[in-house]
Amino acid sequence: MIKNNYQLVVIGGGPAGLAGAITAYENGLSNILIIERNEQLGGILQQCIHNGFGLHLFKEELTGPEYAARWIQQLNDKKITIMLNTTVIDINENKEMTIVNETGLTHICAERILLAMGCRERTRGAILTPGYRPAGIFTAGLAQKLVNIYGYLPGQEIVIVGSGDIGLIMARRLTLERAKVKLITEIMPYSSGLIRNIVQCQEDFMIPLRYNTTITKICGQDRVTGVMIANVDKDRKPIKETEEFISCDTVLFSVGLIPENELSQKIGISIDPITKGPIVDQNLETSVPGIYACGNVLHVHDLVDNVSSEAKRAAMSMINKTNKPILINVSFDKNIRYVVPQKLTNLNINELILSFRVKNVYRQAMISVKSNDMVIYSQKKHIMTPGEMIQIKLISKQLEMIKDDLFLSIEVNKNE
Amino acid sequence: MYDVVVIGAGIVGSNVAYNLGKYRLKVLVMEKESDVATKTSKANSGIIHSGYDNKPNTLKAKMNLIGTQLYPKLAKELNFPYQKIGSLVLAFTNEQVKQLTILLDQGIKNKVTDLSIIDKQKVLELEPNINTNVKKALYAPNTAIICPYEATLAFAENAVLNNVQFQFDDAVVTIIKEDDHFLINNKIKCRYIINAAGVYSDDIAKLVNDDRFQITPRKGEYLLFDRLDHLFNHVIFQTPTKMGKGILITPTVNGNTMIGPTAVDQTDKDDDAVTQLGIDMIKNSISNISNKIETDKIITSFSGLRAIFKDDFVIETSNKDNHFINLIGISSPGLASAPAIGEYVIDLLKENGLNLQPKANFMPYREKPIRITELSNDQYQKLIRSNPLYGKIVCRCEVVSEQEIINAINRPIRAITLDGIKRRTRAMMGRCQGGFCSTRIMELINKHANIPMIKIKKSGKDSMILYKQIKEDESHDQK
Repeated sequence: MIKNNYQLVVIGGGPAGLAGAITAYENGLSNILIIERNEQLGGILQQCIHNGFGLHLFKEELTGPEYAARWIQQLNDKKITIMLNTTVIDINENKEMTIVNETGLTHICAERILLAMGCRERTRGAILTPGYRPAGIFTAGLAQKLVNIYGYLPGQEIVIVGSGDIGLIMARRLTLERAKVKLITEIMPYSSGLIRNIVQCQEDFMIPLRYNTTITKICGQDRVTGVMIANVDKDRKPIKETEEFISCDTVLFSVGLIPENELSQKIGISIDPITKGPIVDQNLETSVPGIYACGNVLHVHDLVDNVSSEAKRAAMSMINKTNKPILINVSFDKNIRYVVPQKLTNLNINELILSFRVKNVYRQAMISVKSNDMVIYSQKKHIMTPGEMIQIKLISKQLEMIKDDLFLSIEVNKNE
Repeated sequence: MYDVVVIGAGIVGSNVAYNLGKYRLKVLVMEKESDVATKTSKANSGIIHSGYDNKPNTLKAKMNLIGTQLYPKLAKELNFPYQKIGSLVLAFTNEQVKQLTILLDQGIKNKVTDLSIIDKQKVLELEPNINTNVKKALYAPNTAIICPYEATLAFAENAVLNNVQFQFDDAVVTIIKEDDHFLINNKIKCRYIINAAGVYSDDIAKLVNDDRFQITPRKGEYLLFDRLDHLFNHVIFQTPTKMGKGILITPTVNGNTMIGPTAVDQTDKDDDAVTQLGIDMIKNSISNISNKIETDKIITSFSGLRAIFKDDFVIETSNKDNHFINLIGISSPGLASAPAIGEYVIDLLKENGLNLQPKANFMPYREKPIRITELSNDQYQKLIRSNPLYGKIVCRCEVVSEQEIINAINRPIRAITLDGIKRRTRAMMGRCQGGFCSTRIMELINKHANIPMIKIKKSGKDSMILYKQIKEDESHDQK
């Protein structure tokens, strides 16, 4: 087998991988390989033809393919090796891997690896929706690909389960293609989608969105004929008496995204049970030295701009990496679902970005970061929702105050 | 004029077809669905039971014993996975321990060898993830697992190689006796009929006025877990109840963990919907066996209907016509018994006047489908050199290449639906359930089976995936 050595191997050529590879190249790494399993770079961006990408990084409203093109163009003048239609089939903690494509198997040794495999959609099967298994059941992202890339409408009358962003975007998209989106159901009392998407669906497109509602059965032998829906009680269990039938020929599931960490698990990288992504430090380095993670493989983002920024940080830190003299754990209170990074190994850095999600909707609440009972950062937020990832930045002056483990909390205003 | 028509292409019908393929006969298998093994034969536990569970001196006991002995050779010749992994029946109470002794005695009466009752320490040695309050277990080292739909396909494909014909999407609705032959659906003539129609076998028998049977469909629901966590090494049963062997845990031949089935009798033969009740029942019973199972590793749930008629198999000629052979009530251990039933049907046909002349050119083998995940790196490298499409991965979760999909489309029994491709290649069967690759696979069906994108089906007659084309871009459609 042919053997190749690289200073950096980036697994995944979506927004995270592109930004990671380009930043690493610009900052001195020369021998870089991007491995992409699809036939083109850009990842899921290529099927996201709606706009709203790039507002933060490029100060422009771009479509997904346009945003991807901005990064792909930057590859032109850089000697970065790109392998498309290529899959990693084996990988170990020594950063050796076997990849396959139409030319055969190749053995690769990397000095550093950047994990940028993105995420997949949670399926109807995974959430155990009862009922039949007819045609007409799609994840929202698959429906998006069918409509935007392949040019086919999956059905005429549609019920969308879950009000995640892709579901909301598809509700809009399918309506524009003259399908009837009859209902979006959301089991929680709030949407996990971005506020702008919820507003567009409900107010501009008049698509009904029912909270505290779940789907209890999919009907239809060959093709979907309808769904049973029901209200849920406070334990999120369906209330039998509220069950009703909604006829439709298509059901879309937009019920969450899961980081694709099967390769990370093969390597033996420690995974955070909440984020389902690797546990990382301030360098975004995983539990295996020299292997970094960024983007949706690390934790699910709602804005691609944040994915690109995170990838840049990972690339910078792998170049500027220093020793690991300390260990500080990042913990948090019951109002917070997770925080990335999960630990700090070096405080001699210019800034530290903490990304996190909250468990519920909080208004006029205070984010506070403490170390050794001393408040080193606090900020009042007008509103925080589980659907929006929150990022706070600690600067060196604040970092100097860290003496012990870091503790993040949301202090809820009792009057609200 | 056909010599024999087999109604139903499940594991039983396909075994009958395989056995008929050995003789100089004109044989047709009629199947109302679009593929083999789409109902009971695809949704069961996949277990070749060792046979202790059957009442002595029943057809179940007899067929199970013979079938179990036939499987290893058949698996070798027809190249389907067969793994003798052994089974444990767990006892957590003294009452259950007593039942193990009864099962052991019954096994000995059924001529099942190698059974033993093992103590707690040995159980936990064999299965470290079982709850430690286990007392004893009945150990049956000869219990094996197969993939039931792959096995069905193997028998059916071999039958095709030996000139047996298969006709899909063709439900039998009328059978008329004319002189010395039957006329099926007013178009197909044959001298003998084998009724292997599973849960519908009572309805088929009624078509020749044999109304002695009433099948009760018994729903069995299952949960399937991701391959990554290998928790159990054996088939793990709870002590049986009168509704059957109870909810069991088994590894599949592909390395997933499967838990089920429930057992709920119903009247609707078409209702194979998964229920919340069933899901909850399985989840609750898991914790009795092991607390190491994480339910967030569930990939999917599914269910199948067992054809229940009284307590034993019915394998006999109809009292209305001795050219019509009923195979009725083939519930568990039907999978294990199928090869024996296939041979037994040949004897019945012979007894009832069918002239059976062995084919000189009978082809006893079936070529193994290439699976890249089963190859060494060197073998795989050579394969890609000979055909680069083996290096193009289509399904990332199960690692299936483009050429494997094309092969499935072109096999003796063609896979031209998404479910057909799934059962033959494992593509779309992993954790993303086809989210990433099903569009790619539709393109391959479009290209290699010449089916327009808009006409591609999931499985059944009216199971079209897409509604209409909205872009006039022909690049994704070959037709």
